Amino acid sequence: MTDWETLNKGKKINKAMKAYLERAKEHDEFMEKQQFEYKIGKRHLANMMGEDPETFTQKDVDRAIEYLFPSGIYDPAARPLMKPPEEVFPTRKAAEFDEAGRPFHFLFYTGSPNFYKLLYDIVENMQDLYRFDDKVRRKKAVPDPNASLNLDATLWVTKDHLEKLLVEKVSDLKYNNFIGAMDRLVALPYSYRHKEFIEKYRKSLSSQRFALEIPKPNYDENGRAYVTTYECLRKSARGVVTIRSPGTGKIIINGKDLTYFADIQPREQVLFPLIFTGMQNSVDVEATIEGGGYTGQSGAIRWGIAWGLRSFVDKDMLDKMHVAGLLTRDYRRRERKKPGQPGARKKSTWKKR
Amino acid sequence: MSSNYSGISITRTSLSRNPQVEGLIKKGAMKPDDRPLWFDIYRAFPPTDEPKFSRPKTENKPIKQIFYPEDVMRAKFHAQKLGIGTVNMLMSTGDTPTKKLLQKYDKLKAEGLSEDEIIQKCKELIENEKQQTLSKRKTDLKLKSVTAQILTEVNMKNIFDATSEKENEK
Amino acid sequence: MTRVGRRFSELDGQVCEHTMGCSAMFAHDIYPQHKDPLDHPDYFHVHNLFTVKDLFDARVHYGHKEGSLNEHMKPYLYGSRLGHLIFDLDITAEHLRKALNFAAHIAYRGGVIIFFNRNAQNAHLVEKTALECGEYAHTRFWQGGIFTNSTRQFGAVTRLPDLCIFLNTQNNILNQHTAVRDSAKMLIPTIGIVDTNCSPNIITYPVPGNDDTPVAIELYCKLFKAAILRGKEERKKFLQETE
Repeated sequence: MTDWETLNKGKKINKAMKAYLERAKEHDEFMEKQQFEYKIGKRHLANMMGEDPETFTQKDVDRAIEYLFPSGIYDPAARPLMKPPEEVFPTRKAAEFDEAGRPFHFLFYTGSPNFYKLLYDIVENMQDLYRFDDKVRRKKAVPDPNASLNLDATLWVTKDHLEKLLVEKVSDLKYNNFIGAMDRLVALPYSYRHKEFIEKYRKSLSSQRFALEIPKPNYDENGRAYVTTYECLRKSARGVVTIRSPGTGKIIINGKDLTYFADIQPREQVLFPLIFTGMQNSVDVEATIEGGGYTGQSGAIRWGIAWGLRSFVDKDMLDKMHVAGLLTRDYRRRERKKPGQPGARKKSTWKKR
Repeated sequence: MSSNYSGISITRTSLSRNPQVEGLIKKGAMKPDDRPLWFDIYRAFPPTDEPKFSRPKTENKPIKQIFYPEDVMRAKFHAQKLGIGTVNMLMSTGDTPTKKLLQKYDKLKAEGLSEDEIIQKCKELIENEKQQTLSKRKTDLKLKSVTAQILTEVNMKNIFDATSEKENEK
Repeated sequence: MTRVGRRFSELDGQVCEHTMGCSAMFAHDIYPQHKDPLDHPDYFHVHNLFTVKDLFDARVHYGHKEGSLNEHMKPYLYGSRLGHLIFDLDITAEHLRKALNFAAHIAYRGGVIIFFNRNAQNAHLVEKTALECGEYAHTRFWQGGIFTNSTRQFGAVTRLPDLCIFLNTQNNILNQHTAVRDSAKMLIPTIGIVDTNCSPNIITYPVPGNDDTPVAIELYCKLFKAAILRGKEERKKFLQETE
């Protein structure tokens, strides 16, 4: 038996590190081969397209592939592609330990070190705040009233986002623990002292519902404000709706008035957004519509009017319209007929024999 | 320098370990230079008892009950509901109420009083102390009360001046 | 208290029997000029890290109630005070010094040391200790197989710890921490603070003592940190010498 001191002089690389280095070498060799093949393929493509292989970029490759292998497959991911190997193959996990096999992270053995480090940091901050609180009380100082933490406009990051931040999988239970711990930190009186830390895990509550900008109305020669909504779609109907304000409640559909629709139902559909916002007498509506039946056409106009009215109503009404479903596009289309049955869902009468 | 790896599960049957490694080295299953890092230290400083799941049963000896001679007096005080109070374990400065009583007891005993007399005397002493602390607290409270504070702050002479000023404003 | 103090002050002068026995087996004789730390009964002077009074002040002597006593903990007891078990701190000190010495030696050899604790109240303290002495901590839910199936768990061959320090060996009040069993399976030595309701059987260096009170845990953390840092310091010197 050699003693430890002598063994240590040999400076053997740890088995874990050896295994990692072997894997890394294998991966590097594989990637080199792939890169070589990609370069050759690119030159071939350039020759086929009759272009200079030296200045053939990735954009040109994509164009060439689309031209040479036209594909009608719906999912773009399933179409033929030629991308650099770094984009196609997953990146190799970096070594988490040094040459002696000692992990870098002190919570490595928990399996999710980054997440537990985050919890550790939260507690660390909390304890710091407790100490600060004690200090303030001992000195009988008054806390800064202006430095409070305002979290009204933000939310905690979602689970997926947290996973991305930590580069780790986060289970539901762990996520709940994270939220609980963060809430406790925020509830402390001096939490503003760790504003930076807290805000790293907050996401602004920008209303995604109205992420689309509401257009400012244009003005015609008479000085009336107007907004035109193109592509008002419902079923197979397609139309353009223009709203003019101020107006008297005149509705013109394809050159006719509301009697363009013979039935009560489509007329109600067209009037609904105007009545809902209480603007049936203060705006004029002009719509040209084609395709589809009366349900589709009236639905398309209804959506177009609601969409155009956004420019003329206040924020409260906007929220109400959203809740009423006026701003939601109806994407339903006719369901196809199935073979072996008379309709999309309808089955022929069942007879025993 | 080598260590345990997940790949090498050296034992599954027994939970004691040093004999296992020594056996492996002896039989050639493990190279002596590949021995675990702790092996030499373990040999040099073996634990007091061999770590083994099936340890021999301990002697069935009754557990020693801890009593002190002053426990008799302590019990007598407690029976009179003396010396029972809360103890702050976070701030371990100062003696517990019982300990203070026992010190008093020793003092009085030296003076040659009998046990009953001592208990009686202690009772009176504690009553006195209680009264004193209560009255002291009351006066403290009085001083701290809101009206007292205001009275000390307010200038009695100017009270009427202030009201007259207000009236002038009206 | 005085008994232990005397015993450890004598240690410096004498050489233990077992150290003499094993040193002949190794190649120390080839390098007679190099002084082997293992020859010294207390190379890192861990005996001066604490006194029995420190243990007493940190309330290490408090055990649980008599009803929850584990039979194998009987030899470590001093007695029972009105139903509450009290540890013999002389015995505790002896075991603790042994454990500290072992930890320091492991740190000296560059071993991976991991701290365990399943008590939420003390978890942060333990993690902080681990961070401060550059070692590792696991105070969370124990996923089975971290030791026994580590290649799968971490997705690669992984070096396992060389020493596990349990600041409490129980998972909850009823069950033992699975890592105690797993480290025994994987031949990883363990140091464990065992209370009167815990089993010391498969722990290599059990330290009988209170494992609940924060003050006590604080003391253990401080001691283990000091011992490990002493070991690491010596290691630094050793590495500088060899280079």
